[in-house]
Amino acid sequence: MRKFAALVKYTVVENVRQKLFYVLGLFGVVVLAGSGILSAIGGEQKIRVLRDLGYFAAEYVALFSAVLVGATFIYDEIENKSIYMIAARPVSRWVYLAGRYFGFLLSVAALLIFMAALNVAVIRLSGGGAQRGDALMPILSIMKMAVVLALAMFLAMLTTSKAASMGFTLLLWGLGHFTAEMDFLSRLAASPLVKILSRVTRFVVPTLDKFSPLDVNTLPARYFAGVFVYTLCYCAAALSAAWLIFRRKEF
Amino acid sequence: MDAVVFDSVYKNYRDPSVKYLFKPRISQGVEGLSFSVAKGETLGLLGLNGAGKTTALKLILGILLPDSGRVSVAGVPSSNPSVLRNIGYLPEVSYFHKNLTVFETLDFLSALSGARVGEERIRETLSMVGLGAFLSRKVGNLSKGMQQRLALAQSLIHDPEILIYDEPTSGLDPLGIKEMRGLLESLKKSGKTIILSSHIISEVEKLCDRVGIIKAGRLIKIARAVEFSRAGELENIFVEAVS
Ligand SMILES: Nc1ncnc2c1ncn2[C@@H]1O[C@H](COP(=O)(O)OP(=O)(O)OP(=O)(O)O)[C@@H](O)[C@H]1O
Ligand SMILES: [Mg+2]
Repeated sequence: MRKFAALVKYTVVENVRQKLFYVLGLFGVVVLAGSGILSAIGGEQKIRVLRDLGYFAAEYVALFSAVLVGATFIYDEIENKSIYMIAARPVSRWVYLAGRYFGFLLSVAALLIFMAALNVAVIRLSGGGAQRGDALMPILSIMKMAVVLALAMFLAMLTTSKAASMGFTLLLWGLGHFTAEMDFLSRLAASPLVKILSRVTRFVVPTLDKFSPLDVNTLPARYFAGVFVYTLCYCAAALSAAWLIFRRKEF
Repeated sequence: MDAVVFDSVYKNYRDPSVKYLFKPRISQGVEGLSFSVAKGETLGLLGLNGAGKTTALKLILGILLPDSGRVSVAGVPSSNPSVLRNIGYLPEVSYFHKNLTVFETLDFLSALSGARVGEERIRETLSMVGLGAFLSRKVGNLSKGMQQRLALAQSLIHDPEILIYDEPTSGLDPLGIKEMRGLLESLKKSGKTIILSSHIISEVEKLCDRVGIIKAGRLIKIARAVEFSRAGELENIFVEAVS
């Protein structure tokens, strides 16, 4: 447990000291500040635009940091051989992966919470009120990033270049927002081969559209519990798959 | 019980880009390595570049796993990570996370060793390797030799019984080399088992109880250092053996 805690702690420290982390944060601030000026539209409309822009900025800043860190951190550690210092210590590969994973997740979650707080502040300053979604959207986004990070780590194990793992993660991210359409298409398909193929694809592609519902303010608690369970299952599966590859890796 | 045992160990490097299918061998690592190192003994491995010294040391740590044969540490197979609790490793080239400070690096790595190491012990170890004044400096801002000293500190922080040192003096300045010799002497006196690789014959001759000469992955000679000295200059024997 101490090993796990040390891994998480120093993964966060390492990430937070990366310049890129600040660049992304700053980008978010600029977008949010810009949206305050841009939305010279009046009344309710303006608050809605602000809110949507805030969600959007937070999500993409988080996405890029998650893909970057998930796909490159361990890869770099192996490449520049700093992994030797860790691999020569009595840490099981599973604890190592889990420690790094939660470290990544905490770093990205910190970024998301920071952006969400900023968004709420901008809305307040513009005269808007708080709503349930302001608290729920960041939580959904954090869960979404948990999925993206697990996926990126798995793909980083599977592929042999950083560009490939980042590319595949972004591709699956994109596909993940069209799972309803994919389900529809697979039902239309006549050939059993296509049916099986689309089944498999659906299993690998994360159902990301569930994490950005349009009616976040009215959805029942049951919905969020479902998303949470889905997140747990998807992450456990992706990380286990990553571990299966990493387990016997030599450096 | 012997601290480290190699039992006809074979290890080839294979092409990692052909991951899941047939993996063609790209180079020989070690071929049929068999030897053992007693508790408290100091063994020096000599060999030309590419002879297989680093490969042998990585096999002890389980960073590499043998294709066939067995490597065991105090009777436990090296594939079991628990053997690492008692091992300190100094890689031939040391890289750290650039954004952590010297202190944080040791705090992190000692926690991973499972050792309860207080701040006091970290400070002590750092002053012992001459980094006492650089506790809060980022590792990325250390010179190469200073990083090598930090690597030395991380190999000792959890007070291991067995030390695996891959070319311990490479990258150090003359004073550092002298200090390293002194340190190795005192570690040896305190009863640690030391396995080191080197190119510097005189260094190995002075320090080690036994010397092994590796050529193309094979251990072609292993004997007590005094026997080498009796038979003539170790340097001559080495040159004769590898040529
Ligand atoms: N990661 C690797 N992939 C492929 N081949 C490797 C790898 N590492 C080492 N080798 C090969 O294995 C052989 C033994 O290498 P090793 O690093 O053990 O030599 P060494 O005795 O430590 O040499 P040096 O004195 O230069 O450090 C060499 O032929 C080398 O080319
Ligand atoms: Mg070497």
